[in-house]
Amino acid sequence: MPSRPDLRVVPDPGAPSPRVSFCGHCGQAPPTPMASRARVCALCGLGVVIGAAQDVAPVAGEPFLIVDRQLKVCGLSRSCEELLAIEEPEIVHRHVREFLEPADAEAGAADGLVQAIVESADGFGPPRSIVVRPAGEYGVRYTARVGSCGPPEGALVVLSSV
Amino acid sequence: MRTLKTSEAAAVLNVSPNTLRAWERRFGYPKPQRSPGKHRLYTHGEIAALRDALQEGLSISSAISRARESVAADTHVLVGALAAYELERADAAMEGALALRSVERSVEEVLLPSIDEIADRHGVDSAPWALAARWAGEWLLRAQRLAPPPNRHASVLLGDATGDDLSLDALALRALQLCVTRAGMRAIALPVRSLAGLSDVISAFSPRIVVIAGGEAADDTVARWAYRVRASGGAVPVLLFRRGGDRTRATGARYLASTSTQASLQLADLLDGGSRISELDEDTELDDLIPARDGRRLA
Repeated sequence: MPSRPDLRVVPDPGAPSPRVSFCGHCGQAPPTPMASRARVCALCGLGVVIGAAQDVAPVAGEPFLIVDRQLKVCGLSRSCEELLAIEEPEIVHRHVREFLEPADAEAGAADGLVQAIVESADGFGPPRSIVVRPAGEYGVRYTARVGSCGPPEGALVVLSSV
Repeated sequence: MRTLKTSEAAAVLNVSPNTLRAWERRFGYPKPQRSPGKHRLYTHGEIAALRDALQEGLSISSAISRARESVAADTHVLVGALAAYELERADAAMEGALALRSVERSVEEVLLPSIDEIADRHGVDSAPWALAARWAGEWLLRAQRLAPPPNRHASVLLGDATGDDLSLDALALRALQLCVTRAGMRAIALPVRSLAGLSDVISAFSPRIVVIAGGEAADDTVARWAYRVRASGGAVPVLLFRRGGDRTRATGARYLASTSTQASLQLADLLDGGSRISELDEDTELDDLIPARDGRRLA
């Protein structure tokens, strides 16, 4: 009798990544289900609780920015404040290109960062990775993971080492 | 105006009282007043605006920025009403401002900035400015009449050195008079040109502090008036309000903050024996305000 291969469940590559919640300032996940329903982070009190796909959401203190569809910075994580040496209240509602710019010379479109942010803030388009650098600084590069977050809808830009 | 204690405001926002205080330190908002017992009192309007903005903001900074904009809308409404010469609408704009803030903050954050805006747009020698300044002066006088009676048994004499009833300094002086009255002190404003009968007024009110407000009157005029006040009322402290920074440095005289709210707090603190006016030199005497002429002080 010919052997029949075992059937097993495999992940659907097209299935959306599960959604996780985290604080827009400290990046920590809410400690309890009740805290995840609150608007303000129960741990630090300095960020709002937002959600994003797990494959985009920051892990282990990764620095990130939250940008709206007008490309204005709405929030900045504590680690991003340290990385870019700026404080959130100083930069809120300023254009993201004042702080980050594309840094991949081999990539096609120079405005890939802007496009990814606008698409993500509109709630469509898959998560994308773009190489960026702090505006005006050469020799420092990060990989920016860009995806949707909210509510309300915005774009999450998570920075990690290239 | 409805106010909330820290615990009540925190409950509206579903945060802890510590979080609310942390926001005040980091963002400067919401900005509470203080009760007579020095406890924080938040205006309900600000807290409600912040609660709504938190639902629409992606960060605390963003929400606070939105809440500030919604609260600042009163200034735009008042400027619009004054620019259109609609004084009833201007009254209504101030009523709206009072729903969100104390009288002092409504004056400082809405009325005076709006008047400044009109001055910038039209100039202080224009008819629109005169109309707006007259309206603002009358509004401040009405508010003054509605202020509660004094409860401190202390009088502050305000020497009006502004020169013109329709100047920005004159309105600031009226705002100071209002804030001082609302802080429980008796405030009497007299022009520094009026010397006749001054000693009778001083005897009647026995002011504990004298404030010279405005920079229009000449130093000699101010000095003569201040000397008469001191001769009648004793060595009362004399402070300056909006009388030009250079004079302060030259004389080392005591200078109040340029905003009426802060200045009235400083005066209250001084009456209570505090020392909020950090730059005060305890040895400063009234003579420091009096310019020397021919090697001697004016008498």
